[in-house]
Amino acid sequence: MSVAIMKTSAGITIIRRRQALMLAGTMSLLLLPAADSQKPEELTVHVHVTCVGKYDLHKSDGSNRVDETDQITIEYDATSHDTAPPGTPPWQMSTGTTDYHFTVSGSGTGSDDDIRLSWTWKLVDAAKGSRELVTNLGPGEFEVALPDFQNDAKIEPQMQLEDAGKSKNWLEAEAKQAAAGLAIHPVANFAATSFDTPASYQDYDAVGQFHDQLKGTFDQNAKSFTKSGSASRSYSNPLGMTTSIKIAYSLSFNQQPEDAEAILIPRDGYEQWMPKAGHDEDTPGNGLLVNVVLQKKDKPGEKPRAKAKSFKFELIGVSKEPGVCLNGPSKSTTKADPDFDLKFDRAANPSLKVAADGQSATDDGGSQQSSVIVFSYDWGGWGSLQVTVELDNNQTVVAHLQNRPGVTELKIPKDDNGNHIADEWEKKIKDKAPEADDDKLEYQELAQGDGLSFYEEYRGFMVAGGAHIRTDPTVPDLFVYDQDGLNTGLLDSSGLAVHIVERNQVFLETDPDPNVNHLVINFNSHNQNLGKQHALWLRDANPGKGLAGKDFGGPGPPKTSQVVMVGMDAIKQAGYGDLYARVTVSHELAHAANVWHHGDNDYQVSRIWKLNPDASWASVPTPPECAHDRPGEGCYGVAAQGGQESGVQDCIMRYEQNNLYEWDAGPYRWMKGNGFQRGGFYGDAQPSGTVYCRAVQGAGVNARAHPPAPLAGDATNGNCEAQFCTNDLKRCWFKPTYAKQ
Amino acid sequence: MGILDTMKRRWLVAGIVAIAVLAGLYFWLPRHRGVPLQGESQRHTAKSDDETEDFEYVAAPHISMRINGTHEPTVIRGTPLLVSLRLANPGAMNAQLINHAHQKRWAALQEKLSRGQVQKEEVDALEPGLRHELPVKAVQLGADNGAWEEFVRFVRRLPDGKEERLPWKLERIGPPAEKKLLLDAETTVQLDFGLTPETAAAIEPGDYEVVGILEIPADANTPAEQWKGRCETEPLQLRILSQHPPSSAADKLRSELDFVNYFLATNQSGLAVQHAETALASSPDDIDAQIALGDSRRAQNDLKGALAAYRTAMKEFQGQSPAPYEPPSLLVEKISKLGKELEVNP
Repeated sequence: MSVAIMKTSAGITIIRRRQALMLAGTMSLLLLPAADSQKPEELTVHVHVTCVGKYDLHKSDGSNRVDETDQITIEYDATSHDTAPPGTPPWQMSTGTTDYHFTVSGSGTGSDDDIRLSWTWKLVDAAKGSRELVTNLGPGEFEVALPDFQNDAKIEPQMQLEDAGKSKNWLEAEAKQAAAGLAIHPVANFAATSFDTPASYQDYDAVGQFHDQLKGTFDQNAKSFTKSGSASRSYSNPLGMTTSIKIAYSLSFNQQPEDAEAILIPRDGYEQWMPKAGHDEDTPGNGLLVNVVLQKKDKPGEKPRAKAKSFKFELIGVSKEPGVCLNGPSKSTTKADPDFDLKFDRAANPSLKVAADGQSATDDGGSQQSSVIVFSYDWGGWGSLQVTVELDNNQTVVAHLQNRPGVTELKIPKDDNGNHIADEWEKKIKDKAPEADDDKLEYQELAQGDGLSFYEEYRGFMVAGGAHIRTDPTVPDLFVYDQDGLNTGLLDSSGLAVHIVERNQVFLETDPDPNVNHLVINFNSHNQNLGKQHALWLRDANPGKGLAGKDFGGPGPPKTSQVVMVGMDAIKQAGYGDLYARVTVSHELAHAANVWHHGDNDYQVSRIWKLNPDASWASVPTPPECAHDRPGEGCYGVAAQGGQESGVQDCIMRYEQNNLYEWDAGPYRWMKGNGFQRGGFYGDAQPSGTVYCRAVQGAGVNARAHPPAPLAGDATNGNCEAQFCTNDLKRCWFKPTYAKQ
Repeated sequence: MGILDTMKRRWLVAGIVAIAVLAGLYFWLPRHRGVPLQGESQRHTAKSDDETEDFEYVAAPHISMRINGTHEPTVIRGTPLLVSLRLANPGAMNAQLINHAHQKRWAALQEKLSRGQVQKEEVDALEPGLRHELPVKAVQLGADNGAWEEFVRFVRRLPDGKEERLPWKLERIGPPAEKKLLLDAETTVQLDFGLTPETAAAIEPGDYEVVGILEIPADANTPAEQWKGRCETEPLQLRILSQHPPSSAADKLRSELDFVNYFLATNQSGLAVQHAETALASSPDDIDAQIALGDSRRAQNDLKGALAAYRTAMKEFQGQSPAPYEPPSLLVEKISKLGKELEVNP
C-alpha cells in the first residue's frame, strides 16, 4: 500500500492512499515507500481544552433593574493518531483528527423588570472532518493549535420563560431574543474568542505568553519522545465578563529501530583509475572520488530513518614509496622519510576535518551521505579506504562495497589480486607476479629481463621531455642520459624500449670504484626492488686516438659502462655524415647493452707480396711510415675470417676498415703466424650498417657465395639482437668466446 | 520648490539607488563567486577528482654545452676557448622512440600471428596501445622576422646562486644559424663560440661556473608559433690555470691541442700547424697530436704532409694498442680518403 502525505504551508494535511500527488508552490511532497515488515512510526497527540465563561450582572438604573448570571463551560477532548512507514520523521506525519468530542454545559438566569428567564447551554452540533491539533510541526518544533469554538461547535441555550408579565405570548418571543442578546453574545462568544484576542496593549504580553505555553521543542533526531504541557489564560472585560481557558496536551512519538548500512560507491571509472603523482612528493596527482551512502539494510536505494552523526574516512595500509616514481623527483629532493602515497587533501575536501597526516578525515554528518576525494602522490601508490559511520541512533556501521557485504575496504587503485598493481594496468598481462622480470626481445630465445620488476615497470619513470611512463613489462628497457642531445641513433631498432632521461632523473652515486657505472636509474625504488639498474651516460666527447666513439667499460650490461663517448666534431671533421654519427652512437650504446663485435681476430701486417704471373711473389713497396720494428704492426689491416668484418654485412656492430681479406686463392700474401696467408685487397668500403643482425652466418660480402670469396665469412659472435642485455642483476647469457681487452 | 531643493532630492534618490545596488551586490556577488554567505551551508559536492592530465612529452628545447670539447674544461691561462652549444628536443626524441618501439613490436606480432605463434585475441588486446602514436611535438625557434640566436647568452653563476654576465665576450664562430629552426626528433643544431687567445690571456685564473642560456621572451613581437621560455645548460666548471708555476706536460699538451682546434675552427690553419708541431715537440708519441697535425696540414691543403701525419698516428696507435677493442675508424677513414685523393691528384 502506498501512502502519500501532503502538507501545505497552511498546515492543512490531506492524506491520499494509493496515490502519489504532485504538488507545486510552497507545498512539499514526500513519497514514502511501501510499508514493510518493520513496525511503522507512531505519532499520538492528545489535547484537552476547558474554557469557562462567566457573567454576573446586577444593575439598577432607578426605575429599572437588571439581574443576570450566566456561566458556560466548553470542553473538547481530541486525540490524533498517525502511523507512517519507518523512517518518517514526526513532522511529516498527520496530527489531523476527526476524533474529538465537545461537551458544553452551563446555565444562567436573567431578569429585567417583570421578565425572568432561565436557560441551560446545549451543544447543538459539532463540526465534522479533519482538525489539526498541532500547527507548525517541523523539525524540532511544534505548537498546539488553538481551539476554534465558533466554527467547530454550534451552541445554543435552551430557554425557559419564568415570568413574562403582562403580555406573556408576545414577551416570550421577545425574551428569547433578549436572552440571546444577553447571554449568547456576551458570554458564549466572549468565551469562544477572548483567549486569543488582546483587548489592550497590556494584554498583548499575556496573549504572547499564552501562545508560548502552547509551543514546545523536541530532538529532531530522537527516535522517540514524549512531550506534554499545558497553557492557561484568563481575562476579564470591563463589563464584568470573565473567561478562562486551559489547554492540556501531550505528544508522543515512537520510532522503531531499524538496520541501516553504509555503502562505499567509488565514482565511475574506478576500475580504470590508476594513481598519478605531481612533480614532487607534496604535489597531489590525481584523485578518486568515493561516495558513502546510507541505505536500509539489504534495501538498495531505500533511505533509512537514521542519519549519520559522523562519517569517519580512514586510509589503511597506504604505501610509502620514496619519491613519486622510480626516478623522480631528483634524489636530492626526495624525502628521506617517505610520506604516504595516498592522502586526503584538505583543499579538495573542504567540508571534512582532515588529519595532519592526511590519513583520516571526518564529516560531522547530519545527512545520509558523504563523499571524500583520495589523492595520489605516487605513480605506484596503493592503499585501502574504510569508512565508519556513527548513526544518530547510536549504531555504528562500517561501510562496505555495493553488493559485497563482507568487503569493507575499497582498494585504491582497484587491485583484486592484491599485488599493489592496478588491475587496469595488468589486464593485458595476466598472471604475472609483482617481482617478475621476464622481459624479452622478440628474437631472443631466453628472457633476460631488464632488472626491473613487474611492479617497478608499473610505477614507472620520468623521462626527458617531462613525461612519466609506465614501461612495458614485456620489453627490456634501456635508459640513456643523453647529456648533449645526441639522440640514441638506431638503438631502438633493436627492439629495446629506449628512453632518454635528464640529469636530475638519474642519481650519480659516489662509488669509489671508477670502473663501474654510477648512474642509478631506479634510485627511488623500494617495493619489489630487485636491485640497482643503471642508465647509460652518453656524451659528445672525443675519445681520441682516431676513434669515433667508445664505450668505456663495456661490452657488458649497463652497470659495466662508465660513459659512452662519441666525438661528433671529430666525425664531422673526418668527413662523415649524420648517418655515420648515428651508427656510431648505436654501435657504442649497444656495447653498453652487452652486444659485442662480430669477432676480434683481425690483425695488421706491414709487408705484403703480390703474385706474379710466373707464380713468383714480388714484394709490394711499403710506405716509409709503415716501417715498423715491432712484429704484427703495419699499415695493412687484415679482415680475418670470423673477425670484426664478418657476419651480416649491414649490421651496426660490424666494422669495415681493413685493407685486406683472407682468401686462399688470393693474389697477395703476407705473414701470419709462422706461415703465409694468401688474400686480396678488400676494395671500397661499403656503407655503414643500419641494423642489428639476427644471424651468425655471413651475408652480403661475407656470404659464402660472394665472388670470388666471402671476405670475412661467418661471424664468431653475430646474432647481435639476441645479445642485448640490459639487466644489471643477472649474468647475461651471452658471453663471447674471446676475452675483452 | 527651488532649484537647490530639486538637486538635493536628485542626489538623495541617487544615493538611495546606489545603496540598494550595493546591497544587492553584497548579497549577489558571494553567491556568484562561489563564496558561501554567512549561514549558508559550507558543504559542497566535491568537484571533478581526476583533473590531472597524463604527463605528456613537453615540446621544449634541451641545451647542452661543452668547452674545448669537454664537460670538465681546465685550461692554462691564455688558451683560447671554443664553446659549443647544442640544442635538441629530447621530448620529441622520446616520443619517437616509443612510437618506433611500438611499431616494431606490432610488426613482430603480425609476423607471429601469420605464423600462428600468437592468438588473435592477444594481438587484438595489444593493438590499441601499440597502434597509438604519440604526438612528436616539434619546437620552433625563431621566425622569419627575428633570429633565435640573438637570445643565446652566457652567464657566470656565483656561489650564492646569483648570475652575472661573463666578464669576457664570446664571439660567434661559423655561419649564422637559420633564423627559423624547427627542432624535431631528428634535428639538432650546434652553435660554436670562441674566445681569442688574447682575450683569454686577460682572464684571471680561477674557477668559473659557466651557464649557457636560451631565453626567448614572450612579448608581443614573438610569433605565437615560436617557443618561448628559458632553458639553460648544466653549469660547467671552467678552471683557468695560472701560467706560473708551469703546468704539467699533460696540461701543456692539452692546451696546445686546444689551440689547434680553435685555429682550425677559425680557419687559421697556419697557426694550427704551429701549435700541433709544438705539441709534438714535447709529446712526439701522442696520437692525438699527430692527428691534429694531420688535420692542420690538411686544412693547409698539404695532403701528403697530412697523410704522413695520419700514418704516423696509425703507427703509434698500433704500437700503443696492439689489440684494441675499438679500431681507430676515423683515422682509418682519413687515411683512406687522403690516399684516394692523392691517387687522383698526386
